[in-house]
Amino acid sequence: MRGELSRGARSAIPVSLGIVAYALVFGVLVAGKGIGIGTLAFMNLAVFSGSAQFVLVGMWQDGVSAWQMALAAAVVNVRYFLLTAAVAPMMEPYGWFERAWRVHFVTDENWALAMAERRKYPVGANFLLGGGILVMVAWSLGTLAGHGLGVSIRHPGRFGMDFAFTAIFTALAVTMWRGKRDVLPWVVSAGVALAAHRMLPGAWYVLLGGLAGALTAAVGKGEPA
Amino acid sequence: MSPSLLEGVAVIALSALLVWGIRFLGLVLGEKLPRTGFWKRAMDALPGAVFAALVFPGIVGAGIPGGVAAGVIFAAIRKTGNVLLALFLGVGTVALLRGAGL
Repeated sequence: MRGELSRGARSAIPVSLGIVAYALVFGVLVAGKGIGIGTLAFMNLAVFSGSAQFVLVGMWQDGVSAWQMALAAAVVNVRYFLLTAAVAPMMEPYGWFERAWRVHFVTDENWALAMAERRKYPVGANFLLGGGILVMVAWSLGTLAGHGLGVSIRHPGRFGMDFAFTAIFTALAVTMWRGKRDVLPWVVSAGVALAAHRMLPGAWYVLLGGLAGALTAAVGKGEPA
Repeated sequence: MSPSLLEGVAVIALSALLVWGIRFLGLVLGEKLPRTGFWKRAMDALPGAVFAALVFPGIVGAGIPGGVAAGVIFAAIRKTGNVLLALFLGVGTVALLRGAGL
C-alpha cells in the first residue's frame, strides 16, 4: 500500500515542477491583493484548487458577497464532479469517512496521471493520494514563495500587473477552446457577462454568463455528444 | 480595499466547503448523472463558458491595450499551449501600449 503511495507521488514529480511555476505567479498576484501569507496558506490547504483559488482572489474586494465569491469559485470547479465520479471504483474498499477526506486530494493533474497509469497497471486510491499530496506540497511552496516575491513589487499598474488576472484567465479560457462549436456559446456568455457586469452588483456576471453559455451549448444540436 | 481577515477566512471556508462538496457529490452521484445529450453538452461547455464570462468585462475595461493583449494571448496559446508564456506576453503588451500612451 505504501509502495503505491510513493509510486503515485513519484509519477507527479514532472507535473509538480510546472505547478510550482504557475503557483509562483499566483502567489505574486495574491500579495498584490493585500492578502496575508497565513490566509493564503489556509486557502491552499482548504480549497486546494488552482482554478477556484484564481477566481476567488480575482474577485477579492470589498462589496462582493461571500456567497457570490464562493459560488463562482465552485462553479469553475463543476468539472470535478465528473473527475471524482470516475474514481469512485478506486474508493470502493474504503468507508465513507475515508472517502470523504481522500476525495479532497483529487486535482486535474494527479487524476490524469492515475487514469493514464490505470491503462497499463491496476491502480488504487493510494496512487491517487500520493500524487495529490505532492501536488499540494508543490502548490503550497510555490504560492508562498511567490507571495514573498509579490510584496516587493510596487506600482503594479505600471508593469501591467493589474491586467495579470484577466491575462491568465484569457489564457486558460483559450486552452478550453474546443473549436467552432464554442463560438456561439462563448459569444452568448461574453454578452450576458458584459450586460450583467454593467447592470448588477458584485460578480453575478460570472455565474449568469457561464450558465447562459453552457445552456446555449446544451440546446445546440450541431455538435457531437 | 480588501475584505478583513475574518471576512477573508469566512469566504475561504465557504469556498472550501462548496468545492469539497462538488468533489464529494461527484463521487456519490456522478455515476448516476446522464452522460449523454443535454447534460453532457452543458457540462462539457461549462468551464470554457465560465472563463469567457469572467474575462470579457476585464478585457473591455482595459480598453485598446486589453483588446490587443487578448489577441496576443489567444495567438500565443494556439501556437505554444504555454499559459505562463501567454501571461507574460499579455501583461507585457498592456504595459507597452500604456507606455506608448494608448
